[in-house]
Amino acid sequence: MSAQELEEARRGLVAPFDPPVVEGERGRVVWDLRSYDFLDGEPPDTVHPNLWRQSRLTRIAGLFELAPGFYQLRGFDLSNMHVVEGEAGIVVIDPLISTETAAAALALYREHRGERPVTGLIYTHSHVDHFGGAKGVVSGEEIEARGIPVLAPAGFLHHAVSENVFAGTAMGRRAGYMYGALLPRGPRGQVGSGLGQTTSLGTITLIPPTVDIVETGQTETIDGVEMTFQLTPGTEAPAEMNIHFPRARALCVADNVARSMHNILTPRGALVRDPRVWAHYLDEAIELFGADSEVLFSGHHWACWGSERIVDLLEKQRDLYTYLHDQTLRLLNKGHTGAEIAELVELPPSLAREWHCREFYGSVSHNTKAIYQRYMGWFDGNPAHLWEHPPREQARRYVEFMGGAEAVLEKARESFAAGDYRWSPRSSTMSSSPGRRTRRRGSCRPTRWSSSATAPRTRPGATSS
Amino acid sequence: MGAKELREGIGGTPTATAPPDIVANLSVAQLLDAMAIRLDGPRAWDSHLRIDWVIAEPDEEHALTVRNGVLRHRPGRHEPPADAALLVDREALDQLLLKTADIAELAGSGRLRVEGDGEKIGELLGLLDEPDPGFAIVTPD
Repeated sequence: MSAQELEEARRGLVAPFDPPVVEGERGRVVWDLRSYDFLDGEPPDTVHPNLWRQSRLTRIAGLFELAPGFYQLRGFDLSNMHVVEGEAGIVVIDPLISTETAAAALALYREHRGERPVTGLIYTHSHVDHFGGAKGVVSGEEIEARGIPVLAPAGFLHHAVSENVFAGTAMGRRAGYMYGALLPRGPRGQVGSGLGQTTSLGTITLIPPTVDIVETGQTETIDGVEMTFQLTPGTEAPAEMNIHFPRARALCVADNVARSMHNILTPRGALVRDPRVWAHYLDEAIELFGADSEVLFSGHHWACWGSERIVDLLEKQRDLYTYLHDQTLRLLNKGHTGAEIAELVELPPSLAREWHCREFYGSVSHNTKAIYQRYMGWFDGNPAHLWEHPPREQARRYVEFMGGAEAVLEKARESFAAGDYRWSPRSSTMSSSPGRRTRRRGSCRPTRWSSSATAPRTRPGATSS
Repeated sequence: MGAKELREGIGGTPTATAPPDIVANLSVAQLLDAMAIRLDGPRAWDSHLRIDWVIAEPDEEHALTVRNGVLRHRPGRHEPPADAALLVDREALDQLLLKTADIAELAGSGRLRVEGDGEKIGELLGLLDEPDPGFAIVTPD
């Protein structure tokens, strides 16, 4: 299986992205895959060998021909950009996070396929890693002057911006922890996000859609490219859609399928996604397009070829989310709480052995807790947990009960020495009195994307995937 | 409530969440959804079942599949052909799922009929787990 994924990750390579570096204004580095050259080595014991393997695959970068007229630009950002050749120009699908990376991707395409103008733009869903680089491939003026259609699923604009309005600050701050974009890269630092290497640090833009896709079965032809749409709202994003290209027998599954278990609730924070709806639309995609698809491509990772293998991939991804959903509900109806269910659920061997069902991005633990949260909320039903102290006040009391901070630290060191790495940091954070009583000035380094008077900064992954 | 149960033991659940009137008004698809979340995943890991459910009054057909530890259903009949078909009227289906009647009883009275490999239907029903309306909240398990 590993060999098959490596073959798929290399298949159709027209030109590698070399050197895989994108600079912004005044030479500021926006993207640099060379910082992952350490992955050439054998996995060290500080990195899970599966993550090492996955990162070696997501680091493969370049222009790939998926089918005649269908091109994938991978390894320019966290996400993929796709180009479909029409009669007069090209339709661009999902122009990455930053204008700089999207422009670099388009430049490599044009270097090998000629100076074809953009005749259409499509956003598959409302996450920033699929629209932020729009103005890197076409300007707002060109869109207007040439009447270039911009297609997106119904509700796209509302959802693309609303996440930033309400909880955006907190999500952005937490995304810094989730993706580790500011960590040094290396075997003791950032290795890869599982979905792609990391998020680019360029300029985020947004060109509003001009054509809404409002129903499944809707067809559109842009520049001679025929497309049939399947709306999949409430799956991986609140506004999302799959696209089938009947003539080429190609299927774009947006982020509804990945070569990793995805997140039901992304750790940066978000509304909990609905795995039942997600699985439902994957099943519908099989019914609508499975038999008529010879190549499947998605917003992250490499493509998949052959109808039989495509259906197998869709079925197993569907069953993966169904399994997590149904087993969480079965167990919560027997009285187990989220934290308990997370320890109880194990994937069936038929799914666990598939690389695309593994925990590179989402995890069984996070996802089962998320499903519990979706149905039951934060409270586990025990009256003693209904009005707990906030962490700082709770820690103060626990530490006092346990004999003081020094005693707790000593015990935590013993736990660490015994290899109980799950408990040692959890217990020792009590003695450091976590919590936000007041914000201590200068207590943490400002993040690179905090308000700055100079170049526009982005918040990595603020609303991505 | 917690203190009361610690003193006196678990008192169970005072309200029934799925009384017959509620069940009777669920669509067949909703009934099958409810069945799907009772499937004991680990016990079903290696099961591969295809069963058609043919409901009378009103007439509906649903294709059930158990695979990858998951019970799925689609309306209509689908390929591959089913190992077995369960033919039942809607009221009897409700009774079967509410456990107010068992499969032998319903078959005996002619309200339920099995075509094909009946053992597969037994296997499916045997994979269903029971929720626990009196689970421990504050008391030791």
